[in-house]
Amino acid sequence: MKRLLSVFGILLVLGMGFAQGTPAGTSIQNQASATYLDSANQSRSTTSNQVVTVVQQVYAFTITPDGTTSTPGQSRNALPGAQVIFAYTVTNNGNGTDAISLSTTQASSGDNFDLSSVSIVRDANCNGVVDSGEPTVSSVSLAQGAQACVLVLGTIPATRADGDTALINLEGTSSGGPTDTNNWARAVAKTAAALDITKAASPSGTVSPGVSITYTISGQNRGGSAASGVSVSGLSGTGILISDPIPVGLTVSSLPSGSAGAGSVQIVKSTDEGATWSALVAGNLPLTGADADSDSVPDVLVGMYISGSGAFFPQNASYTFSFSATVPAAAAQGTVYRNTATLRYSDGSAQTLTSNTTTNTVGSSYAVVVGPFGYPAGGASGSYASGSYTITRSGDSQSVASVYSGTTVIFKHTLRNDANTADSFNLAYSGAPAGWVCRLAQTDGTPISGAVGPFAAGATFDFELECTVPASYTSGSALNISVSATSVSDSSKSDATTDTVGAVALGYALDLAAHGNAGDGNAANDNPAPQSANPGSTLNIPFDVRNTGQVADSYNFSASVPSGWSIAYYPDANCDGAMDSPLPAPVSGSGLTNPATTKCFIAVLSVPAGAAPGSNPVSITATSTTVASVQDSISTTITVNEVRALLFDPDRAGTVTTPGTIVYTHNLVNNGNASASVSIPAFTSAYGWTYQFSTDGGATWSSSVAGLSVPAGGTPVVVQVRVIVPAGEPVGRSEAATLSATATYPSGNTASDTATDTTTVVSGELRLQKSGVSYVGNAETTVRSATAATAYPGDRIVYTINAKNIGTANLSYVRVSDPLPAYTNFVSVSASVSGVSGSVLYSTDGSTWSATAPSSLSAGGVIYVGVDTNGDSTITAADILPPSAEIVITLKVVVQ
Amino acid sequence: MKRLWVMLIGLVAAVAFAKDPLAIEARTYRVVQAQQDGKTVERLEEALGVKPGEVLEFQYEVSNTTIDPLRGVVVTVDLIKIGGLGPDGSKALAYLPATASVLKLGELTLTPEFSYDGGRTYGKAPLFRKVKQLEGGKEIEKEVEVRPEEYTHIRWVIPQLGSNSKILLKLRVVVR
Repeated sequence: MKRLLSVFGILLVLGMGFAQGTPAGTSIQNQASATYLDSANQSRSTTSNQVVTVVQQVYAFTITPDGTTSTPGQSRNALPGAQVIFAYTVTNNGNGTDAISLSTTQASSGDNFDLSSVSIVRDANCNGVVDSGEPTVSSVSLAQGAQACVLVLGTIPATRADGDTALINLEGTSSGGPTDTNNWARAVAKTAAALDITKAASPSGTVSPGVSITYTISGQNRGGSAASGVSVSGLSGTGILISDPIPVGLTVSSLPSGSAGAGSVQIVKSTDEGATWSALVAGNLPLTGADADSDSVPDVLVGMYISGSGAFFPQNASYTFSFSATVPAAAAQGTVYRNTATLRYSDGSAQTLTSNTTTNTVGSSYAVVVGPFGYPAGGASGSYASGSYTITRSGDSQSVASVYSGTTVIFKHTLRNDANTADSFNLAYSGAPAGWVCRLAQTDGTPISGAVGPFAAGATFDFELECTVPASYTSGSALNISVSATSVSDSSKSDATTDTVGAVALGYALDLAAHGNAGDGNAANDNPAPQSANPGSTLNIPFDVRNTGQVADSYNFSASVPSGWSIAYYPDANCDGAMDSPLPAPVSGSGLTNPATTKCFIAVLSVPAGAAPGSNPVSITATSTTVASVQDSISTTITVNEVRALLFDPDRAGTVTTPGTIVYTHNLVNNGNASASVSIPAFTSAYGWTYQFSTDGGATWSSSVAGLSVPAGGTPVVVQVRVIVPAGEPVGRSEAATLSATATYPSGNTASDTATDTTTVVSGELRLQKSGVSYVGNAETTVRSATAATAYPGDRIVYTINAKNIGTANLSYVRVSDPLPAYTNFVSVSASVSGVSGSVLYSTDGSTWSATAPSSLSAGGVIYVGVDTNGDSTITAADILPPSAEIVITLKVVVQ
Repeated sequence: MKRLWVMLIGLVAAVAFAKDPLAIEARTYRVVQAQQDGKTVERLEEALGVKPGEVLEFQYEVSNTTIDPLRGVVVTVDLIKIGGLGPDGSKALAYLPATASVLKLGELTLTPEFSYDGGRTYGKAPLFRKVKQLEGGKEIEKEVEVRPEEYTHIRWVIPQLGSNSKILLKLRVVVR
């Protein structure tokens, strides 16, 4: 037996065998990789150079059985002139293909003769006999690890005497050098009985786990006399025993069979290494090959006992013995089963012959099982927790009753390599609904890409299928996802297990309710209480939003409010229902809200000024930003209070001659929030004067006003009052008429205001009338009010004062004065005169006069205007204003 | 224009000579035992070729080529990548126990770490794997020691490699 050279002692410690080794030509590419942080703290990686070492071919082979000239490995008997056959096995133990030259040599001493007609035949089916078509060879070419059976044939010369021997050696030489030359065998010329024995195994060579190998042992009496039996311990009489050890690990489950050309056949067994024998009956089966004492001598043998008395087995009589043994299903790849049968008989003295050796090697068989976590082969039960879900195992499947959308469900699995060698596996899944995001990962969450393994035979591997359910996915029916593992070495070997999701419920939900009521399960108290508000005010609506789903979510707020109203949302951090201080920044949504969490907010509703009285529906909606169909609304009613406010302005004063008429202009302003119907009752003069009203600019006059519609919003409605003074009234009589206007609102409620017109009877004929126009801003571009009823700070008001002699006689020493109105600043004054020749003079104290208009006038100051008709540059009694002459003064001020 | 070309050439040269801050030089030796003066001595020979059963020593000279220290240097040797898997799925290279360098960096002793699961997890030798078994219908977990020949990866985690300094890492494998 040759062994590989140069094995280090340390390898023996490791117990490594190098029967075959790494194939020649394999490149060992030495390279290291590294990761590190450079000076800039950047993660970097690098690799070393690559050093290539090529595995070289090692030549090693064996020829068996071994034997020396003194102890030949096999012995064959035959009649002189007959052929003997020696069976050998050549095995390539190197790491590459090798051509092994074969030759024979015969001993020059230590024997009696040389065999003639020696040849070497390749025994293709390893049955120990030359079959048709099996060639004569001088070498065999074997791949790494392969074996070949060869037969050495030789003829005993016819002249040889009984008992003469010949020694022959089969020598082999590897193409790489090593030789094997210790394979001596002996041929014995026998005129006595000479039984031979050959053995065949079917199938030969490589076998798969679980198959049965049928061994057939056969032979013939090729000697010159009949053969006798021998005594066998435990068996009666004498007989020829063909025995065969059951290879360790193999199991014989059915009775062997056999036949013989003479004698009576009994199937027998031994369980003590062949020391004692007994009949083998069905009840003894199965029998499994064993070697309990590890002495390399099999314990269990089966055999055929051909019993007879005397020389009962005649020339040319033959025998056959056959049995089947089953390779274990779990046999490891590379396990070798060798078997050699033995024949015992007597040719006058006891003879023991061994057959050729059959060799079967277990090939690779690939198998994989995958199943629920901990149960790769199925048959699972129980449950385990996976995240927030409980996975229930049953048989070769596992299920979760229901999951929520937007969550991830993790099924764990266990795979087992049921091959008889290491293997890797491709994992896959199928059946996940569209939109689901699934991935395979190790149990620590590391994603799996490509094959997993290699794993040793029998090893297990746990992995996960993680599936994230889309946010909007729901299903009431069960979903099955198949997870499979396929052998990389043999893609026909795969197994699958089923993961079932019983149902998918929507994982998103919320409850929007009045403050304090979210998530209480009571829909009846969700709506905030109705509130009332004045126009132009704001009011708070505290509300809460609670995530009643299973997944964190954000909600956007929206609202339905009457046109012109506005709403804003503020977080209520301390959740007390009152606005926090300082005022937080407004938000448009809830922000991320975890499941079972409530957040508080305050909606601030702004009611515009002028909002009509009445009830207004307001609703607030919170909508999931993940699943738009997930939303909740609350609604309430905001009642706008009715506002009543009427202004009847301004008070007026005027002078009138007797008889005479004067018209006063007033504004009715409705500052309420609803249109009002205004009435002004008739005014009864104490002196019989006539008071009349006009609402159409003086076209028609009536004694009272009723049903005058004054719109809300402050737009003035002009009412003119005409006072008709009859003839004969005493000069100086004055009447202050207080006119009362009453506004009636839709609710029936009223508001009222008064304006007082004071009319004084004068004797002269100088009539003074004053009117004003207000402009937007300190310019005269855009009229704000044609009657100066409205002016804002910064607005300019232009007053026009008409002083006209409406009498028939001259008036003298006419001075018209006008005070600067309170809260105004003087802009300019100018005056003109018509109906008389003279020059206009101005004064701010009534005594000193100037032709130049003053450029300033302090608060509380008065402007005086007169006409100098006698040219003395001052105003005296000598200055005359004739009938129809008129002074027009324009005073411009700006409101402070 | 001529000046521009000169500048460009200078730039190319600068790029070409920009070195990796960390350089690793790998070397492979065949460990040969020989008799000398009646004693067995060990020699390291250049390993262009190797035969099954022979021992190889892998050496890695790791150099910091910069004037700044490099931190978090992890040098990894992947035996499966180097030797590959045989036709029967077995590894071509088997790590020989206790041959990976133990480094002394000042006060610090750096012990190599090993992986048997393709580099997914590392630990100091000996490694243990958990095996799940069903016993009496119950699932139990056992720890089994992983044989060194099953190791797939060896690595050294070096907290800091000083400026312009070198370290030499070694390990030995048997070619199956």
